[in-house]
Amino acid sequence: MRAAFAAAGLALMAAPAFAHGYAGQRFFPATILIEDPFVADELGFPTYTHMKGGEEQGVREDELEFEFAKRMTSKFALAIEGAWSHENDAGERVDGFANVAVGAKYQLLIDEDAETVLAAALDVELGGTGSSHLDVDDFNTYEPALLFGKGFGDASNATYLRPLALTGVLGVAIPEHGDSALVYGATLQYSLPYLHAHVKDVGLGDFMNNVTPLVEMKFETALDGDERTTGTVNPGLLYSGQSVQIGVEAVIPINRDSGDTVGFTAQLHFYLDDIFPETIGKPLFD
Amino acid sequence: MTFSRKRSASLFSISLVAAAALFAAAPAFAHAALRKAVPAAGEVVDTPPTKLTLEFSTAIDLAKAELSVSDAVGEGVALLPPDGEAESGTTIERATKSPLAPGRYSVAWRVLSVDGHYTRGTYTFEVRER
Repeated sequence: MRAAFAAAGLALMAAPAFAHGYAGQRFFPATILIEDPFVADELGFPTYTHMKGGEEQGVREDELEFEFAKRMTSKFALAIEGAWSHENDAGERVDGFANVAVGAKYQLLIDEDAETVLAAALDVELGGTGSSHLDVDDFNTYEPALLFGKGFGDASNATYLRPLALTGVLGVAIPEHGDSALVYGATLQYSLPYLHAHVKDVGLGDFMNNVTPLVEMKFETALDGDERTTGTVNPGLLYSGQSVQIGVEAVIPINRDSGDTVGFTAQLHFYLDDIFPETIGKPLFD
Repeated sequence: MTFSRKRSASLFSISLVAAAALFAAAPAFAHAALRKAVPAAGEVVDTPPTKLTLEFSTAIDLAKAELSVSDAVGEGVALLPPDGEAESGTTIERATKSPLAPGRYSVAWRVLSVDGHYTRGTYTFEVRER
């Protein structure tokens, strides 16, 4: 309470440009599976994922993805993402590019004291832009979504719960042909940086003080038809360095329609607004 | 076209190296996170502190660094002005006017890193009754 009072005093001073990913003293790392609820200049490259049976049972899949997001204003960003994938179906190998996707994101809310953030996003998978022999969709799919984040630093009576944070997504994938699907998911994070700096320094050391253990989960449920819900649960670790983040997660399918075995994913993520604050790391218009 | 898992791993490695090379020449700008504090967050100390030291992960504008300490009833603790003339550095050090009495204290800080981003934070520590 007293800490909050003191913080409120500081917050009354001139409005500053706070670093991306922050809501007050809470830093939300960029997560791999669930889009994070912040508008930022960032590059996720590469994201490597290995799975078996994700799209088709028995097929091994390796995928390399990139995502680049650029702020147009301090609250609005555009993004583009693509992926190169390789499939191995019992020795029959095929590779190529997935459809390109573009997106827009708008920052609706950053409540610093409540460590709460909210953003609206629209992603569009552009049909026919990938390799045709990979059987990519030749029509667009639109996915409007709400993204949220909430840190529990205000749980003042439960000291060791304060580093917890929840982020999530709720959206609908609307293809130009076929059934729409509800897309939803969440991450539960335990921020060791938050524990170290704002709750209790338990002596974990410099490396672990930058690590956030987390579980990500994302699901898709068809709104029409009788297809089963698919999705994965991804437990892992994110290491947040000064301007680069490294993430490693297991990919656990929730049923046979989601994958045959446990896979894994790894990502390098660059905070461009920290690396290039005067050039590509700042909003184009402000 | 065919592709082996070995090539996939190689491509991943190449991507990592390329990405690292791409950013190797980038300046070491980044937001400032609290790396170390004395007394530390949540610490219970037996010896009344006569100063506070906060070390950050990157250089900050020391002239714009803000630090306040309040006691258990919310009264501000008097801190001496910083000595030294450095304009930037990674560490804030402020002496108290007198050793802190036993009790619980709250620290609030806000700093501007050299990349132009503000970060802020709070934590508490306790001076034990002797």
